[in-house]
Amino acid sequence: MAKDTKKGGKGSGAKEGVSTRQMILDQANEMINAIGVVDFRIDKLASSLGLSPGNITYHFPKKEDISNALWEQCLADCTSSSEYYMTSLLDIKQLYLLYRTIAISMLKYKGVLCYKMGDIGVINRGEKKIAELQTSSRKMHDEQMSTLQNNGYCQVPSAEGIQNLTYSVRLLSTYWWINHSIMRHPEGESDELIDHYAFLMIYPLKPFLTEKGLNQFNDILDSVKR
Amino acid sequence: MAKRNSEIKESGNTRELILSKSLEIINNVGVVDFRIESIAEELGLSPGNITYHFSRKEDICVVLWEQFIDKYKTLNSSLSRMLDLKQTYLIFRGIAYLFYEYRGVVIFRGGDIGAMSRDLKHGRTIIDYSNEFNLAMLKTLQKNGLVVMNKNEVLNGIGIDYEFLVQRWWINLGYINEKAELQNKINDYSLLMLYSLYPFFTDRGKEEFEFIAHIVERGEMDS
Repeated sequence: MAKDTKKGGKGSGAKEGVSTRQMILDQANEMINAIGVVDFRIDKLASSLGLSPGNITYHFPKKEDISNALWEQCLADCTSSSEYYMTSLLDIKQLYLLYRTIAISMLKYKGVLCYKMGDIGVINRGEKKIAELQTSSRKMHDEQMSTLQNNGYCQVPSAEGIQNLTYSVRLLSTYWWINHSIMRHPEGESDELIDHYAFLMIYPLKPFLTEKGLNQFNDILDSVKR
Repeated sequence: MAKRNSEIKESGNTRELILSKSLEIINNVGVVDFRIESIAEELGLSPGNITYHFSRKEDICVVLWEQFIDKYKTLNSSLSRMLDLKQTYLIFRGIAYLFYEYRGVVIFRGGDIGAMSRDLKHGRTIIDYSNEFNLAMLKTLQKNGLVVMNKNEVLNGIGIDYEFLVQRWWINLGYINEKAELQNKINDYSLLMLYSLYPFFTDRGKEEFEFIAHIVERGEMDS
């Protein structure tokens, strides 16, 4: 999208259909994905858009406001993809596709995501948002488990302790896979990598799958190359 | 000559002092907000005193990370042929305390694309050690009938990546959940680290895990 706005040439300001605010966000996201949040500067953003820093700070007073807005966008994307797949028909294949879609949405915002949960000070500033995220993740996890159980794909562990641990490891793999991916595969993104991590997100459920669930799990595994 | 020696000795102490104070500050405010001026102020030194030893704050973080990795390697080298899940749990607990000691530095490691690419080699050492360690651990536990590896190598690879992910990023989640209480919850998070092996457990492995989980959940580990 940022590329489209560039076609209009530098300094053309708001392009048809794309507000200045959105143009700023798209370009900022691209820059953050390349250089990270720490080195990202409003003045660099302004000059790459052919705007003055004041044009930017009119919409976003601090760079933190930009990264927060991008974070919100990403969470909205992830929520809508999970709503799309979360039906009473849920099976392991759909669960895998759900996480694959989430992984693709997250990768689009990788710079912001890996930063937001990756530093003590940043975590403390984002406390409220993270708490909301945790509440909705727990709800989503519980819903997935009970729907899969109803449909005969998995057996929810009876011990509450194991249930909580399962939730925690799923939360860990759904949020921090992006940091892992960037650290482990700095060469960049690929479909194979997305498959790998989407599968990693359903992997913790393996011990609780029924035979019917395991069959689907193994079918999906055959399509994952690494 | 004598003067020069004492200078070196003194600067050695200053260096140590800067490092330990920096770690204390980073554990409170994180790496992003950590400033050379704030250590200088805390130690009653001029910023020049600090930059004489470390020209940028990143240099301090790298040295702290190296300290952490040295200690981490020591903890990872203690696998015996008699390894069971209780011992594995205790190894994880040792690692968890070390993570806690260096939490500010560890939480940020891999926390920003720019910082990561500047320092990729350092950051990745932990993946190599951890994967090597997890593989050796799984093989020994398999000999002892507690885990069984998959026939499918792709699935094993995913399992090892997943273990590393849980064993490395639990500290970020732990900090988010517990904040100042994290120190009192190390037993619980060590259990979470051990739980990363769960998909590999045999029935005996699951039984032993449940035994450990029971003790941890009742808060009886340190009796």
